[in-house]
Amino acid sequence: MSFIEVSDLCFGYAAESEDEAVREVIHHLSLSIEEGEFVALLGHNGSGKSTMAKLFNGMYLPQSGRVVVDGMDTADESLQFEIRRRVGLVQQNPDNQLVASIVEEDVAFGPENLGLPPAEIRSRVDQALKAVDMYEYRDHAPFKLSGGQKQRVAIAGVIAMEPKCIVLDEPTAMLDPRGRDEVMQTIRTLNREKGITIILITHYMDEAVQAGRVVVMNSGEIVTQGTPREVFSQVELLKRHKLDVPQATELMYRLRGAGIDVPADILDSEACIECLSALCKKEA
Amino acid sequence: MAILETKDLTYVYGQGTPFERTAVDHVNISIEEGEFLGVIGHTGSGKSTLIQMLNGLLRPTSGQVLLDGEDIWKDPKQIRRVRFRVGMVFQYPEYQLFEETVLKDICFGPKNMGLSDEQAEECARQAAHFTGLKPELLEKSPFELSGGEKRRAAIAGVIAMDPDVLILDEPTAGLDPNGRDVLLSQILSYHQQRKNTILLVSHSMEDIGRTADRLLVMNSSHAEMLDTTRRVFAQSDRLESIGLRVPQITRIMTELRRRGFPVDESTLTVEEALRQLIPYLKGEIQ
Repeated sequence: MSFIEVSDLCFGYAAESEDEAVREVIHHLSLSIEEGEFVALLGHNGSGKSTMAKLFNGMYLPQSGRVVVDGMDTADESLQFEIRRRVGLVQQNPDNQLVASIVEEDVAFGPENLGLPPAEIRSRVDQALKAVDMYEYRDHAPFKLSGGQKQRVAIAGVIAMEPKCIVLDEPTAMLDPRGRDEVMQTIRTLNREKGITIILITHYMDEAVQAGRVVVMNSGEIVTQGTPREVFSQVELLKRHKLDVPQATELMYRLRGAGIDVPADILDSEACIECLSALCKKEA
Repeated sequence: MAILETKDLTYVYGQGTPFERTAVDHVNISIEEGEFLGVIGHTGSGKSTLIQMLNGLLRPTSGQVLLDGEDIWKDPKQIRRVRFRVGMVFQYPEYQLFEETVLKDICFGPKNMGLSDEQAEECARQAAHFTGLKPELLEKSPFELSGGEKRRAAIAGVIAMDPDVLILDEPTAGLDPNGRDVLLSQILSYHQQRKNTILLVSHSMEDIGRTADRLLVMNSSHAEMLDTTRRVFAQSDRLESIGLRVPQITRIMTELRRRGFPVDESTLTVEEALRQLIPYLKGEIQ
């Protein structure tokens, strides 16, 4: 059985008045996520991605269908605590997620609520801060950190709960380029070295390219999924769903359109540069 | 001609306290009338403090902001006038919508300027048109709109005041790729029709590459560079060293040039890259 098993899930937001219909945002969606996977979830605004983020850890409950996390059905309220310990959520705005006035106290907030002994809390906090490379800032005030640093502290707060899975809902939307790199680096390390399952919701295609699997949503349904190569080679389909491809992929796609024989599955600048250089050398 | 100029513009937060920090340090820049200026810099580089001084929301610790050659703080009682002429759209402006209907919300600014109800409504409808907001949405509550529509409504609220300088702080943050493209083209076409000055603050180098004529790069409270977008993006190493990047397409083309491809020093969009690569590659292959 997969780590997260979503089957025939439907979800809608309650109607504001009686004569209005329930606004259904997820329609009969099924999806399995294996332990240790790195999945990127793409879709335009309003496609249902962020709703999914909250369904994964039981913040929202299905109207029909099931979400089963590590063998536990999120609809079973007695399991809610266990489920949220396993699936941590990091949101877009770091300022809304930090609560304490000192970095390490903020990271300790979760483990303290688990009622762990002080020594255990200490070691979890230290390890979590080291994992996101913020240990040397442990006695700083969160509000004085840069956006990328704040977001890494928010991630440390989730790691200190020792979750098996972290769901990140547009964690880099408010960050500058360096902050984005720092957060993406952290996410990759957590996935590769600690084996934490990652579900990354993003509007940045160059971030989605780093995942093992890309799932594209539209109107509450999955329209396509596969490796980044498989998904991003479908330029037309992505554009139809108001998404984009990395500039390197777009360049290659349009060169193909102009009759130049280049591969359709180029995802980053390096591959693109190598391919074009090789093309010219070969001919020369 | 310069519409906005700064002379040794400086801002110090918490002056006289142990937390004293200079956010903007002796910045001297000149913004030309009618240009589209991109503003980039890492978090904490001083961008936000700078733009808030440009429309008089923050009063400089020292130095001056000149609007049409005149110090905006010459008569502090008149500072409201400056804020009408230099309009500011903050990050996530949709959180500032508050009226019963979208139309009333957009009218708020023009009414504050002293326009009659009819005039304000006229301005509001035009502004809504500029941002691509459908007329049938104007009578709805702002809270019934989608995220992208709310963003447009909020931007329209500033455009309705018909500012000579429009400052947009991260207008596309959180929008999906299509929403980003559409909003940027709308801002560009507004700029072309109205011919006013636009300052676009963004962390997306791709967005900046597609829109800005010139670029102001802020770094550690200083104006690090102010030059054409092309010349700034030609210096990728220098940008990387201060935590910034060039657009992916610029990076690819710069590297190809280094490897001997006959392409320009600085390419800003995929279209420009194609115009150079297609004839070359076709020639090479034959």
